Amino acid sequence: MITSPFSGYSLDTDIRELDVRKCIRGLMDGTNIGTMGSDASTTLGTTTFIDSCGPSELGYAQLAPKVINAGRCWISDRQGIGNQGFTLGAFECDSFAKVRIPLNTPANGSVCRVGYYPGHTEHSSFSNGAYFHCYTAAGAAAGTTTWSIVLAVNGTGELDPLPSYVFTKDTGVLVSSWATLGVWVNKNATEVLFYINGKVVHRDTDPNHIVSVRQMVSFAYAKAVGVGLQCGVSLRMSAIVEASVLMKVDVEWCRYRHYMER
Amino acid sequence: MGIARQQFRIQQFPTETREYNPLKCVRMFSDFFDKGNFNINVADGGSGSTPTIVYTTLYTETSAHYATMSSVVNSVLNARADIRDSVGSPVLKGGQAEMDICCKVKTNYAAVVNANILVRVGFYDTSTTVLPASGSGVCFFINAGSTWKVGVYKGWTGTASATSYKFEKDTGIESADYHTLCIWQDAKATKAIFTIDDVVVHVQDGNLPNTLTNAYNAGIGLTCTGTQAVSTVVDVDWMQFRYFANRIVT
Repeated sequence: MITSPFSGYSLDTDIRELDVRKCIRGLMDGTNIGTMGSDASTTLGTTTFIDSCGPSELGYAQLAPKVINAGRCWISDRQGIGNQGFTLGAFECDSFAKVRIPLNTPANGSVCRVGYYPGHTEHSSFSNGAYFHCYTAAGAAAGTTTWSIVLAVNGTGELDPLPSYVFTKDTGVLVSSWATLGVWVNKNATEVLFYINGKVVHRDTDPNHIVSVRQMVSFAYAKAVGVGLQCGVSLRMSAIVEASVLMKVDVEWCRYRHYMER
Repeated sequence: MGIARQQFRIQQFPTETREYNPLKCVRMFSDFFDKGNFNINVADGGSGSTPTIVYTTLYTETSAHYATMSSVVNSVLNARADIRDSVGSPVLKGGQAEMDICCKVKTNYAAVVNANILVRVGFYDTSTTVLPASGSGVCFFINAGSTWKVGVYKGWTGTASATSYKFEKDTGIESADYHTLCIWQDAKATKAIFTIDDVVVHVQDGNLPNTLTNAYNAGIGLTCTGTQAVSTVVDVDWMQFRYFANRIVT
């Protein structure tokens, strides 16, 4: 398998994804959660499916968290609210989603993440992961209206003592319009590609910039400590969220492919 | 793929790579262990009994796990059960993307005669009074007798006009045994092909409902057209709906 050409390769159908021995594949599409997991509790947030029809879409999901401390919801590989144990660096993987945030100015104290991200981390924190995000800080609308790239390792010091690394870059792509965002990571987590609408917008090949089993010790350790990743789309609020301008996220489809040898 | 299908090959609806790529296709499917990717809806029509949808886990030589849609004695006009694409009211319209729907289905129409029920498979309008009275649709249906009929309705009002079109024909194929019913239509809603067990039974050139006419559902629906004296039972072995949208456009 040729890895990481600078093309829309990761968007194409891969014969491996049809073979359960070679790939775990999750897909949410249209008006159904399909084989993805959704928010674990209606007290935290909701996922609503909305009918629509056009040349480029047929229904979508809308994530909407509750106005409470730590309200959150997601469409991801994660089924429950227990700690996720997933880490990069064990097998080639990718996570793509077509998303938009219909509010042009996202609500304060909220963050949307797409890719491989921490499930619990608050809006202003960068703990671990390789993902796109859009967030706003507390108080005035100090956040962005565009998608930014995030690469973070040990950002909150929850792992064994290791050098921390955080990289962010604003792509300039507005969150208010539909965009297909994707993150591909090679088997050893030594290379990560970020895609927007099939185009590579960032590449990183420094293994110290990509969180992996090397930093997380093991899947079990990541799960126990609570620093494991989940993939897909998530929306996380803080206690200071403004009820009148709740951020919502529309998700037309969301897919992950984890190419493990089973 | 669309061009190839118009060669009237035996297999009109082959598996294709587009359906696994969310950039090119929205795919809904169920083998009916449960509702799968589809949405279900049952309604009592305002009073009386509500039709049912249940799932059976059963393996035979030719089928496994099926859904059963049933009208109930004393169900009244417009009581219905649908396994469909939409969560709520229909939004799907032809003329925006190539699409097809396939469904393996049988009924008890022949054994239990019921003139007060309508079964439709394909693209059918649930927002209006039941077809064939009015509305838009591209579907197979049974509303009398026990054989599958082809129906094409474009803003049908009961009277033919420039904006009101209806075509119906009886395929003569009995619904008592499982048959695979499929309908494909092109992106511009200019042509539709109906097949039963991979054999073309009708080609519709023109007069298809499109973005200017009513929205419809994709799926299978059982609708009461009068008070039920008996129960009509429809077994659905599997169903697949593919909407080949160009989702690269953002």
